[in-house]
Amino acid sequence: MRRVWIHIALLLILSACVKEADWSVPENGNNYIVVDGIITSEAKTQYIFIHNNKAGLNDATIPISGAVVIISNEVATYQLYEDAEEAGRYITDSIVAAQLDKNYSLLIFYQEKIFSAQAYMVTGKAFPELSYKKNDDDELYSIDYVASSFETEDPAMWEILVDWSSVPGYENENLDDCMKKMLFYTLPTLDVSQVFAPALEQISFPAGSKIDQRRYSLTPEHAAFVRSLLLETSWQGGVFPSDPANVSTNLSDGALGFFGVCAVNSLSLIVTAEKNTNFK
Amino acid sequence: MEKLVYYLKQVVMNPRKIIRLLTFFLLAAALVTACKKDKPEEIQPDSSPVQQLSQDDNSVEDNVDEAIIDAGQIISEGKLKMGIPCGATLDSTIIMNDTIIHFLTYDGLNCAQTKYRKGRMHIKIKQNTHWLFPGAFLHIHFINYEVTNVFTNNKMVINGMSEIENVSGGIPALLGNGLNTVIHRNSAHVSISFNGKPPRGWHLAKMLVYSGTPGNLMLAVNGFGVTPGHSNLLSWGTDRDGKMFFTQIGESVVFKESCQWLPYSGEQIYLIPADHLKATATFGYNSNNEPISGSECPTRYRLDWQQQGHSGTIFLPLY
Repeated sequence: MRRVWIHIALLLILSACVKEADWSVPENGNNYIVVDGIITSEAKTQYIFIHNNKAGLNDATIPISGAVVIISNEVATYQLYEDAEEAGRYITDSIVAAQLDKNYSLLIFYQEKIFSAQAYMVTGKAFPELSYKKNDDDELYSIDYVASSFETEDPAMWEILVDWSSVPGYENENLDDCMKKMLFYTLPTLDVSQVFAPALEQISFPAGSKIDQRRYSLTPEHAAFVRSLLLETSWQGGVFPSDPANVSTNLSDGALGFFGVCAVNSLSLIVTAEKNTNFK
Repeated sequence: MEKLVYYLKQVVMNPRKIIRLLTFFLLAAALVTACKKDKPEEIQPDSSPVQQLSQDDNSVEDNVDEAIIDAGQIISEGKLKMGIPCGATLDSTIIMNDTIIHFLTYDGLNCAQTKYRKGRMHIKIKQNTHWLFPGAFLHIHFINYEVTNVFTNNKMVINGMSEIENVSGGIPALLGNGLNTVIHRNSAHVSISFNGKPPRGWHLAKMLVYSGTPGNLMLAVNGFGVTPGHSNLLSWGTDRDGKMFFTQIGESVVFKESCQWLPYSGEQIYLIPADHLKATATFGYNSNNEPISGSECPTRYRLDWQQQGHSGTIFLPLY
């Protein structure tokens, strides 16, 4: 009986300690600039995206126009121009390929403020292709295995583009319904919220689909950014969610996002019933 | 105290019981161990070594071929004299015994501005021999010849010797002017260091058949190398991971000048015995993974690989 009284007393004391606090959060949130910028080892027109942060998860992206954007390394400087066809997308005016053993700087001048970031590239490597399997309940296929999600060395981002717009029977479908992009990651860390992350949507596609698989090499700093981003997004809502925290960044002066330089290796394959189903 | 003695009596077991229990555990352990069966370790299929090999081999051949073209340029004579290759300096030319030796130093971009080259090359030809004549031989000695791809910054250092025979006589620049084909044979034994890694032995046995007219030249490549158990070899040696490899030509690989000398058609077979890996590269595919047609230029090649009962087909970019 005495124990019960002790518990009741503790409960009362602890309840009395709870204090309501007012925290004024602006209705539309603070205004930050967000950089989504990866330049790669591919010889192509390189680009980065700059936009404002959103107040809500499903809000439309607010592009930032009129910024001056410069990317440079020890031997070259490239000025990026805003794409006339897509606001907030800044492109190089020539074919550029990021190089190993070079240090890259991103400089953004916007509304009297300067934001900067530094990045470098680690070497890419050839990789075994992904595997896919036939669904149990229909004639479609889905991705079975891309790469290990944990590797102590060589972190990477995997971009999978599946296109079945040319497969007979799907030619007249909406393009957006026949082309899907998926991202997977190989990181040098293993989090409990990653292991027990919520299930992802399964993308199904027919035989004859074209799959382009690209591996982006990540520096340790880039991998840390990806991890902190995933902790707040894809890995939230599972059995062991992490405490909310700010996503890391390599941008200065309060800008968000990441500027990265990646070596890209790629391959392509066609989904067939006969091949590529027997390994994992 | 009585209670404690009773408790201890309850707890301490009879020695016979202990022996019986131990025997039971030992038997169980023996049974479980006996049931454990060593499963044969299943090899995880991995096509990446052969992907890397196909790219490395293409780069080695491309870099050696470029050096051969430079050498031909240096020893050209009379009306065909073409000057010094881009990014190179002809230090001196001497005659030693019956051999003319040209000493070439590289430190600059190639003419296409795609590669930065450093290092030295000695080009040797017998005195009173004309490179344009059938049966002429040319020797190239690579000394720390370093080639850096300006786009990827991938480095390759070549050391060793290459012997080129002018089988048919003539040079590609003379095609279309009464000359239909030019045949050269290159036998090279070089060591290659990829991105500062330990050097690897690389052998080349390459027959080059040029045809067509300037602007529309074609090059057909075949292999003539032989080792025990392998023939029609284009190249063999140890790859960047230190594994033995063999590259054979299944069907002549054709390159077109009008397609920036990219492989347009043909088949090349790669073998890495240590990995039980075999792959066939078929050239002439576009970005939709379809065979090219008409005047279309290739952007990809197809790689069909096999490894211990596993197989796959992938398409890789040509550049």
